[in-house]
Amino acid sequence: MKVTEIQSIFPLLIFLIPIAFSVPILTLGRRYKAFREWCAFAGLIVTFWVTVLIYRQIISPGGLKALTWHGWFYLDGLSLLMEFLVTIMGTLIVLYSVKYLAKESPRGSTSEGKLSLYYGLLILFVGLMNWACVINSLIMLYVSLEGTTLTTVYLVAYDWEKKSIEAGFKYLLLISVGMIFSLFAGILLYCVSSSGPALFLSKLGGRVPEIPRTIALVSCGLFIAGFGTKAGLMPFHAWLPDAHAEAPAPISALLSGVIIKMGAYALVRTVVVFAPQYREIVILMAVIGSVTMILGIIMALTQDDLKRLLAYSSVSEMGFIAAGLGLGTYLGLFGGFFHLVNHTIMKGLLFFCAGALLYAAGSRKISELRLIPKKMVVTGFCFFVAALAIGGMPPFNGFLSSLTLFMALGESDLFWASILLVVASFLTVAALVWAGYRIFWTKPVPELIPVTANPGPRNAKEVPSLMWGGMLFLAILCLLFGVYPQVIYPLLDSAVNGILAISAP
Amino acid sequence: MGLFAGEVVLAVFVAELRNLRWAAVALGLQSLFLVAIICTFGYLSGITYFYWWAGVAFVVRVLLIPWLLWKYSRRVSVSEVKPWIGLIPSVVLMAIILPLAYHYISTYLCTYFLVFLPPAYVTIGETAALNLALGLTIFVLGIYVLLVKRDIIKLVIGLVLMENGLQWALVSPAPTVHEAAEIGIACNLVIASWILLYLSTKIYELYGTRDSLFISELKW
Repeated sequence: MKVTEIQSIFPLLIFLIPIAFSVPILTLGRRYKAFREWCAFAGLIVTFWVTVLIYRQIISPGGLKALTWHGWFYLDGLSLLMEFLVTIMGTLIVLYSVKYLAKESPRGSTSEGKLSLYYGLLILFVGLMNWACVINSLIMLYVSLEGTTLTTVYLVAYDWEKKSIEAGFKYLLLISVGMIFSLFAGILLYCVSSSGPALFLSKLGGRVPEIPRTIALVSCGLFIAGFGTKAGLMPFHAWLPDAHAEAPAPISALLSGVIIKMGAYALVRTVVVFAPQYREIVILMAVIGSVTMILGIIMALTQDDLKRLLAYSSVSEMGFIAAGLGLGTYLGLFGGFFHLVNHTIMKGLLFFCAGALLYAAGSRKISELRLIPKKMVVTGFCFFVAALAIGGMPPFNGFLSSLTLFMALGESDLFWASILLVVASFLTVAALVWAGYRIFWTKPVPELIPVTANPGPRNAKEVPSLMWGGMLFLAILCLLFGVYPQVIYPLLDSAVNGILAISAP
Repeated sequence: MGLFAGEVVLAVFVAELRNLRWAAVALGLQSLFLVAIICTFGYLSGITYFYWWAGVAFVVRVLLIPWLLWKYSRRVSVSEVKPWIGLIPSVVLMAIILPLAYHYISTYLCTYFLVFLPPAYVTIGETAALNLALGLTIFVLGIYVLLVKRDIIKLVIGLVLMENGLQWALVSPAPTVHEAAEIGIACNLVIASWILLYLSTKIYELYGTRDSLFISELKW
């Protein structure tokens, strides 16, 4: 299928708007308290509106379409899908953060300067993410992804304590070292393509036949190491559990919901386009994906820290996504993108729930949380919806995407991987439902509740509506995409066909 | 060839100097050799792009990053934390690893590029392949530093060495890469180095050491 390229200013607007909104927050946010939150919110709403306008241009009758800006920016169905995820999650995170950060964190103190930097960097990050989604140059993709890492280091180390600073250092060092391998791969591809026209990402698939086999395989291996680090694939995942656990809960939702997905996005743009010509890449991605999904969830089962459990579960889920996307077939890409969307919703919801528990009870240890009085009904309901969804239980969204991935792996003669996927799904539901059962269903033992903690498990009650509102919205999406998935199919179909159209012949 | 040899030898000094300030100076000199190599290629090819690139590299790699290393190493002890491998075994190991890396890179990767070089490089084709091989050898040296060093400031130096190696490797396809990419890579590196060095001083304040072995509150 041929892609019709339309010259448009939208690929520029989609990242310039949030970047423009970040400037007043970073400069004036310290002085005007309400301004920083609402300016960030307004910036995201405007960005969302632009994304909807782009949707109406791309998802319309008349074949496959992509918006470009002089070849340097390229916005197709996949870019649009990612921009929806970034903008919607960004908006929910800003709303959630208002109450979450306003209350003095039990693990650190907040200040006006910190808050303005938080919101400013958050919206700057959204701009950089959107930039990464539309950039059409191989080396600039590396630059933009590294930029997203740099803007989030402060957010990860926000609590500014021993553990959070260590997590921030590891996060930046390990991702920078990992990502540099993708720059290496980009240079190799530039070397073999330097005699032809400029090497755009949208043209990379078409150039695959002229790239020597050794260079193609070495480059793909380096891309997997580089972007796989960003995606949290094993064995490049070491930064992920620490950063997810130590960051504030809304930032954990951002890391798990959006940042690691950018690694998968970059892998699709650089590695998956090679897959039709190289079966080795399909096998390698399936092996890495399967190892990641199994080991990730086994490590999750051993955790007592709820956020760490969720972090390892994210590692496992990225294995699902990588195995599906690596196939390079319609079904594989469809399942991979669908699971990518679903995982953003489910894990965003789970981290919001973990944040709600930390906010209300001042602890993230499952063994301590089980002692709290059962007053957090909305949080409990949302937690179980997300736990069942992520474990692939019907009628929730995770069931359909896991099933699609299972079928896609089987269709590509990788039955062993599809069996591992089922095993990992059962382990996931076991890990999360067991955690939920211990937190929300076991009987509290008042004499065991620590009385020193502030706010303390004894006083735990439901979180403010601005926090549970976002959680409920994500829980509804889990159900909606499970019972009426047709609502998202046009976007997924456009994303898949867009990638197949630019992949190697 | 003198520039090439100087670049590699200085990279070994950067890796092995135990005094962090002297390592910062050696890194600045090593980057200066890199700038000289880029300028030489600009002069040979007559492409002005190389001079822009050399200018950015000079500001970021020769001035800013060594200055940051100098500044932050002054706040903590300037002596490097004892690495996993001592000086003599490390030099011996590097004498084995680096020629091997160079051999394999030039044999299995660089041979492909000689036939793909742009017209501007026809006269200096072999030199361009040599650039790539030596650049990637320095990249391997950077990985070695990350693996055997325990001082977190030395780990940042390892990251910069890897980047410097890739900059050298980028000399061959440079004319096809947009200027914004060079500026973006340089900006990313200097910001990443600054944040890492700032965090490493905070870690030193909190943990009382820069030894990565003991900075491990977060386990499992």
